[in-house]
Amino acid sequence: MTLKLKARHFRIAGVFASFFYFQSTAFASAYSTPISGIDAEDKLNYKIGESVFQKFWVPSPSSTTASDGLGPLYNTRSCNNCHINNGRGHAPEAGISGASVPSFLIRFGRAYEELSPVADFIYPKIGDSHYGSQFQGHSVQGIQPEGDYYLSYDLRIETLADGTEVELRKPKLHWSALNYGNLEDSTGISLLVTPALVGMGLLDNIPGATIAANADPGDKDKNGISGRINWIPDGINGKTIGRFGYKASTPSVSFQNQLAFNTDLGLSTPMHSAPSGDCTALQKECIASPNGNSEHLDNLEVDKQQSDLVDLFVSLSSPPAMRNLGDSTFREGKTIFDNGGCASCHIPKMETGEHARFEALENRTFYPFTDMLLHDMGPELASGFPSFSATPSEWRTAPLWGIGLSHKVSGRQGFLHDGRARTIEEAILWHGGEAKQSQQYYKQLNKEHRQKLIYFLESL
Amino acid sequence: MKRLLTPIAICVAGAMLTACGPAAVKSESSAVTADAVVVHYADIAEAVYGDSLTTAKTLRTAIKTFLDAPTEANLASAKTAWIAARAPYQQSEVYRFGNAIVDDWEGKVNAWPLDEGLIDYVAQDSYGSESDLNPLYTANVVASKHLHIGGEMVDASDITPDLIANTLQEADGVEANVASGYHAIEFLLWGQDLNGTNPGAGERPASDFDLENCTNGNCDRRRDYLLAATDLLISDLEEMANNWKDGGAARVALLDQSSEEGLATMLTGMGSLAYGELGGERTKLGLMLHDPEEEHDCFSDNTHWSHYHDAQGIKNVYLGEYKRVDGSWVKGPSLSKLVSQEDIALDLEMKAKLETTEAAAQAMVDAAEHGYTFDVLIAMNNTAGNQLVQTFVDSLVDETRVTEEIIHHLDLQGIALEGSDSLDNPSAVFE
Repeated sequence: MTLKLKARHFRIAGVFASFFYFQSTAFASAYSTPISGIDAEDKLNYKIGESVFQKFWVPSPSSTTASDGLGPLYNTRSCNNCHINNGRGHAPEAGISGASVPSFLIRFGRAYEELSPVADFIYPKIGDSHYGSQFQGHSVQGIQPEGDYYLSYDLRIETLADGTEVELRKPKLHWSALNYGNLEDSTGISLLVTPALVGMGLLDNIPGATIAANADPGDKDKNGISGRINWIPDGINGKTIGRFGYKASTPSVSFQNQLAFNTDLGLSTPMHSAPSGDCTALQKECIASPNGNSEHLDNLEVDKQQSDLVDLFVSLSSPPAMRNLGDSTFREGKTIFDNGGCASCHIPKMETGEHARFEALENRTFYPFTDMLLHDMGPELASGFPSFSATPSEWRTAPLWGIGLSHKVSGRQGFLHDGRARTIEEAILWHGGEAKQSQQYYKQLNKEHRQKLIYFLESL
Repeated sequence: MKRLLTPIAICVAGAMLTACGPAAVKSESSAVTADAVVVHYADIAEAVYGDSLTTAKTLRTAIKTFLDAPTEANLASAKTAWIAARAPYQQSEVYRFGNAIVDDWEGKVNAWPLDEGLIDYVAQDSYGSESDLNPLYTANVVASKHLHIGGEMVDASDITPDLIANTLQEADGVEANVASGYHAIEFLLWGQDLNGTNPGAGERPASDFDLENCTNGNCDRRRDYLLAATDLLISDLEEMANNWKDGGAARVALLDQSSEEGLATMLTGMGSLAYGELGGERTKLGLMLHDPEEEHDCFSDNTHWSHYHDAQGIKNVYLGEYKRVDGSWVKGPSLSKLVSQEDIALDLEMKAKLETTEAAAQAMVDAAEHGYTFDVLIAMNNTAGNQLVQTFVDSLVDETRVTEEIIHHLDLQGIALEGSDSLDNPSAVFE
C-alpha cells in the first residue's frame, strides 16, 4: 500500500515542484521552495531552517539566548536581509551610504604586484591587519563601526554592430569614514553583491571528478577556453575543490553558510568559532566585548542544530523550473547561445552523484549553466587580490538558472560579482578575457537575435 | 491525468449494495465522488467562516458591554468571548493553504508576531525603546494623534477601521507592524505577557479602558482602537464568509478547477498546515529556541487551544464534518470515504494519525489547564514539557506522511506542476 516518494521519474530537480507548494504561484518564492522528494520531517525542518534564515539576531547579553551574539561588528542582522527570499542583492546607487545597503560587501585581501609562476599556487587568505577580511559598517553599542563609503560610477558606451549604444557603468569606491585608520598599502579590495541562492545543494553535490573533467588549465584543446579549479587549502597540506563564492573560494554549502554567519553577522558557528567574527587583533574592544556563546548551544552562538537547519534550507531549496521550453523563441535563443560558445563555460546540464548529505540530492539531473570552474574574465572585471588559487581576473562561471526571476524574487536585479550590470545585456557586454569571443559574437547579433537570446536566458 | 472515479468505478463500488444504475449513483450511502467531496469542502468553509463571523460579533457585544462598564468581570467576559471566537477561526486555517484567496487575505486577521509597541504602551525594560528594523517599533498609536510614517506626517486623531487597515497595518512596509486582527485585539485585552517562560499571561487592568479612572493614559483612544479593530475584524470576516457562499470568489476559484485539482487543494492545505505552519513555525521553532516570543497566542496564553483547533481543522477536512458553534453538525461526502473506496487500510491509517494528533493537542490543553501553558512547556530544562510539545510536532509529521501517501495513492502528485511549461522535460532540449 505504501507508495514511496522516491519514484525515479519524479526526481528531476526544478521540474517537479514539491507538492505542498504548488499552489503558491507567487514568484517571490521561486528560489525558496523545497526540492521534490524530501520526507515530511525534512519539509518541517525546511520551514524551521527558513525561519532561522529569516530571524533577526540581537546583541549580547540578551534574554533570548538562542538568538543573541550579533557582532560586535556586522553587516546585517539576518541571512534573509541580504538574500531576500534567497534572491540576489544590489549595488548602492551613486552617492548613498554604502553601510545602509546590507547586500553589498567590501572584501579585503593581500594584493600582489606579480603573480606566482607556479601553476595552481595557493595564495594564503590574509585580510587587512586593521579591518580583517571584510568591511563591516555596523556595530553593537559601545563599539565603533568600521566606517562608511559610497560608490560613484564611471560610465562608458559600448556600441553594437548595428549601431545600438549600450551604457555600461563601473563602480568606484570612495571611503567617507575609516574609523580604524587607513588600510594597509598591501591591501587589495573586492566589491561583491549578495548572490542568489539557487540550487546550492545540487551544486554542492556535483562530483569533483565531473568538475575536474571539464577543466582545461592549459587550454589543451585550443578553443581559447581554459577552465581551472580553484584549489583551496584543506587540512594542513591538503587541498580541495572550491565551489561557492564568486571565485569558488569555499568548498561546501555548510562552510559558506557558516563563514557568512561569522563574517557578515559576527556569530560563532561549529566551523568558525570566533564569537567576535571578523574583529582583528588590533580591534581590541571588539574582541573584548560580550559574546553570546551559551552552554546549552555547544558554547556557540549559532549551534550545530541551527547551523544544520540553515544548511538544510539552503541545500534543499529547489531551483525554479525552466519556463517557455516549448516555445520556438526559446529554442532559437538556445541556438544563438550555443553558436556564441556560451555553453563552453555555462554548461547546461549537470548531475549529482551518490552519498549526498541529504538523500534527496543524490542522482539528480539539473540545469545550472555553469562548469563550476574559474575563467579569466579580463582586466575590466578583475578584483584587487587573489583568492586561494584564483587570480584577480579569474571568476567562477556564474550559474544562469533563475536569473530571469531575479527582480520578482527580491525586487532587485543586478548582475556580475559587484552588481554593476543592470541588465543581462550589460552583463554579457562586460565579458572579457576568455569570454571575449562570445562577447564579440553578441555584439554582431541583430536586434531580433539579441532579444531571442535574452528571452532564452530569462527562461532558465 | 486519469479521472479519479469513473462512472464504472462508482458502479462497481455501488454494486456492493444494490444493482448498478442511476439510483445507486445517487444513493448517499454508497460511493462518493471527487466532485461531491470538493463541493462539501467548500460547504464546510462556508460554515466555519460563518461561525467565525458570528463569534466575532459576539465578541463585539462583549467588548461593548465591557466598554460601557469597564469592570474586571466584564473584561474577563470579553476575553472569554475572544477565546471562543478563536475556536472556529483556527479551524478555518486549513483553508489558507491551497486557496490563494484565503492566504492573500489572512494577514489582515491573523498576522503574527507583532511589534505591539506600534499600538499601545509596552514595558521598556524587556521590549526596548527602538528597533533598527522598524521605525514604528514604539509608535504607540493609542498615545499619539500624529505619526511619522515613511517620512510623512499622518493624522491619527480618529482611530477608525480605515486608519488601522490602510495606514497602520504593515506601516513602513514592516510586516511586524500588525495593527489589525485577532492578535491586535488580543494585545488590547490582555496586554504584554511579561512572565517569559514562567506561568501567567498578560495582566492588563480593566481600568486601562476606564474613562473615569484611567490607568496608563489615553483610555479614550484605547477604547476607540479596541472597537475599531473589532469592527475591522468583523468586516474582514464578512468578506471571507461571503467568498465561500454560492457564487463567492473562493468557492468559484475552487470549483473552477478539475476535481483532481480540488482534491489536491484539500490535501495541500492539510499537509502544509500540519508540517509547515503549525508543526514548524508555530511549534517546533519556539521549542527549539525555548523562546516565548515565538508563541502564537502569546498575550493570552491561548496557544494550546489555538493549536488544538488548527489540528481539528485538518481533521474536519479529512472527515468531511464540522461541529458548528451552535452544536449542529455539517456532514457530507468526505475525503475519508473517497480514500476508503480505494484503500480501506490507508483511510484507517489516516484516521488513526489524526486521532494521535488530537490526543497530543489535548495533552497540551490539559497541561495548560494545570497552569503549564505553551510558553511554560517550551522553557529550557522543562524536559517533560518539551517532550509534550515534541510529541505534538512528531504526530503532525506522521500525519503529513500519510497525507502524502494519499496524494500518491490518488495519483494527484502530477497536479503539483504549475502550468504546462513545467511538463516539458528540459532533457529534450539540453543534451
